[in-house]
Amino acid sequence: MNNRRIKNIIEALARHNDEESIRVLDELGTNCPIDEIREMTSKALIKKNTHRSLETVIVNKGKGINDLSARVAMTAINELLALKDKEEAIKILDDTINMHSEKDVQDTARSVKALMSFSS
Amino acid sequence: MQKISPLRASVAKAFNDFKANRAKKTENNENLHTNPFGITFRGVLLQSDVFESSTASQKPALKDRLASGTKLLASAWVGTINKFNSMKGAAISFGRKIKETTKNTIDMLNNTNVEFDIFKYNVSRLQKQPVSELEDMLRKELGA
Repeated sequence: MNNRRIKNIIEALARHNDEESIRVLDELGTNCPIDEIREMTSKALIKKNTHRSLETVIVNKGKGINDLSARVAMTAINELLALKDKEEAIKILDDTINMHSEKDVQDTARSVKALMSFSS
Repeated sequence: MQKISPLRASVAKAFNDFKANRAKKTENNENLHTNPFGITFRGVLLQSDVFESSTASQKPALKDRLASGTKLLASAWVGTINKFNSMKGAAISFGRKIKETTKNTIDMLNNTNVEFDIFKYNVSRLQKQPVSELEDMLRKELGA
């Protein structure tokens, strides 16, 4: 496994305009057992800043801000806080807080939303 | 005068004897040598042997000389051919060496992935590729 190659491919998928890139990142990246890959994938998905990509890292349990690895979760949260346009992210966080079935996911979304409110 | 006369006569006689001896000696010398031109050196007639090669009898005949010259020419020609053959062999060897080196270099470049990774896995280049290709590449790298 060549980390530099993987990093470049994930970076290329992050910059890609094709919506299919989100599916590939979700399917291969966020489900990868290696923390480093999941971390890179979460960052890539948040950088895309689209509804579908943000939904993947905010709503899904065990992915993005809900990842079991604190390092991956913190990286995702930092990336969300670093977004210039946070509108879509806040909208999804609101929907998650209001409508998600899992309480843990709701709590995490609430915490992140609070952080984003302070940082903006 | 009479006292002188015998002396003079004896001198004259001695001179004449000397002259006769010299003439005789010269004649003998002429008989001994065969100098056809009568060339002298400091008054002494040179022996004809001076002009004759001591190896004259051993001088090869024209036929032998021709054969010898032909042999020499053939030897030189063979030497030249050998020299050219040697040069030709060296040139062929050099050409083969260059060809082999070039082939090895091309093979090495074809088998070197690291050098091409810089371009192949460049983000800007990857970005222009279809997602399906990127997916395959990512799967391959992850071993998924």
